[in-house]
Amino acid sequence: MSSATQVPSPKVRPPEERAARRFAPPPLVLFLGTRLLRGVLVMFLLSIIAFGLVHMLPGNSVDLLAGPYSTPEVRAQLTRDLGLDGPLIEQYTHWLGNVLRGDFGISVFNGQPVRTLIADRLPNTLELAIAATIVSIAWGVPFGAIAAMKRGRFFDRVARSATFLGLATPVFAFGVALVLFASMVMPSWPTLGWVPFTADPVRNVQALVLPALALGLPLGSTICRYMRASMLEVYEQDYMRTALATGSTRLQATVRHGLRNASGPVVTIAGLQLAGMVGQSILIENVFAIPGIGQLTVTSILQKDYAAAQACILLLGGVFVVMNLVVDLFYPLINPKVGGLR
Amino acid sequence: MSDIVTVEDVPASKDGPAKRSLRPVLRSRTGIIVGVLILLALVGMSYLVGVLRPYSPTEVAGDPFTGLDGTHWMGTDDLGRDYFVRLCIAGRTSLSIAVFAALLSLVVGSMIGLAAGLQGGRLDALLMAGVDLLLSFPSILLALAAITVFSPTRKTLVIVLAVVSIPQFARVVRARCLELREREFILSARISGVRAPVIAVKHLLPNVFPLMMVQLANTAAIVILLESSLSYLGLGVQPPTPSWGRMIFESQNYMADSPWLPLGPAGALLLSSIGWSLIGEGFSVSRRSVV
Repeated sequence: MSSATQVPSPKVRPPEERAARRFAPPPLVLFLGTRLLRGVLVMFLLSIIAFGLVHMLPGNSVDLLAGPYSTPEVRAQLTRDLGLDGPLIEQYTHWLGNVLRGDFGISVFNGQPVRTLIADRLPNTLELAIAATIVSIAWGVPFGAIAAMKRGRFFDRVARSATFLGLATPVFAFGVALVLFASMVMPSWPTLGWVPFTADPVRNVQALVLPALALGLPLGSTICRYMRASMLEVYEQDYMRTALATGSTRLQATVRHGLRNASGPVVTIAGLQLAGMVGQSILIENVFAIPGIGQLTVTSILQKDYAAAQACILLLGGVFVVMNLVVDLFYPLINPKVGGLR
Repeated sequence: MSDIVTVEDVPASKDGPAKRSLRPVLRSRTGIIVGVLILLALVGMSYLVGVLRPYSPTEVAGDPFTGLDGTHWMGTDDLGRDYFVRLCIAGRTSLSIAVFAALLSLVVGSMIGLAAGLQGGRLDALLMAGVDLLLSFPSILLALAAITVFSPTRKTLVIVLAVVSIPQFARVVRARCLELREREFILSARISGVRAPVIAVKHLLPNVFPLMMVQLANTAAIVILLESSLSYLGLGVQPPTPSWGRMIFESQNYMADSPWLPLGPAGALLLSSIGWSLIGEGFSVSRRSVV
């Protein structure tokens, strides 16, 4: 038992393996390729889920559109028009072809094309997402960095308790509490009700503040935790010690060397958080009555408006997949080791 | 014979940081105790409410919006139902769904993790590909899609929420198994010809168990938030069964006059999620992870 570690025996690779290695793509390309492939696969599965959703449900669009007293001829005509005759595979390709051309069908509920419904609501959701991102980074990054600088001190404890609460709080309940708080402190502030930016920019920004805080503050707590952990790791590095030894103050060293080096993992987490926002924005839009994609998703599911529900699930899932993919693709840039390892 | 070293004699510090990384470490005993106490208090309240108050959660017990007083501790809701009783009974729904969903995902997720981690190779690749795919969808969207198809009853909610939390379980357990697989006691069991399922149950499981408990607490904390989110959107347990998320939604319109109506269930929700998180955070899974 003198040496527990195994000494790797020199391996002689068979010639065919050596030949195969010569043509192997560089690791980075392989890494990006597999990620891209996975993204496409997930999108494909998502489309099957969205498509299958409608077919697993009791009753179909024909019943809903034609109503209970329709004649068989009308129903047959409708079935043909909607592309619902023929085998499932054919229906799926037909539907997918339409979706890829941007045609999501017609909302059963109000007769509008689903594309119009989505186009009307998308800007509001995007506005909320951007505002919430700014909020989450604006509190998460500096507070995380300062908490790491003042490790174990009062500020650190407060920041850590705040992030713990932020992670444990249900986003929608936080939103409701914010509305309550704002209506008591500033009764004149418009808490609920959405005004489009084009109609009244000032009122729009006012209406945006609370939902952005409700969405951004809990999300920022994860960023804050990662920023703190990442900074603590940076403080142990040699270059930080060198900077301190050569006369930089802790603040100078942090600003000049620490923040940059600590931000790598935080960028990844921030990206994943943005992807996670897809789910949270559904809730916040419903709390604050913001006419966005999240609200459309829930109303269309509750009203059994399947065309719209399909489109929403596809869109939200797609955003999530793409965000994850972007994070994956950026990751080798931030951490060159990853591309080489895979 | 003095140089023969048993597995137990090898000091833990000989393991590299990677080997040590997934071992649960007690970090805050007070945190765990407080978390357990909070949860016990919530469970006690929701199951013993019948002894405390004479009302049923669905009966009209008085005028609507009586305000806080001795007969109705938290007043009544818009239909005149006793709000305190409803709050407690809703706790049964939310807490039990969270526990059962977390337990179900523990069973399935651990089986996947054990199989993948012990067997390795093709099975591992296949199972993990499935897990990764499941992780590629936002969980609330998956839950929404599933609830659209299956009507939201207690049973379907438990299953849906469990499925959504399986991937994390499988990953954590697998990572620990991969690391244990290389250890001497597993190697010697394999060499002695012990069959894989026996190794998994007799040798791996006891070693993964503490980790599973930590993950159970973390999962319960997440599931309770997810369940309340669904019920807030009207896709949780259907009325007349009360649930915290739905109660927040229903009382939102009246919160200017009676702010305790949404704050009650919100507080209960926050407390239960804090309770589970405290237990989960009391043990830190990784020594290095400060997160």
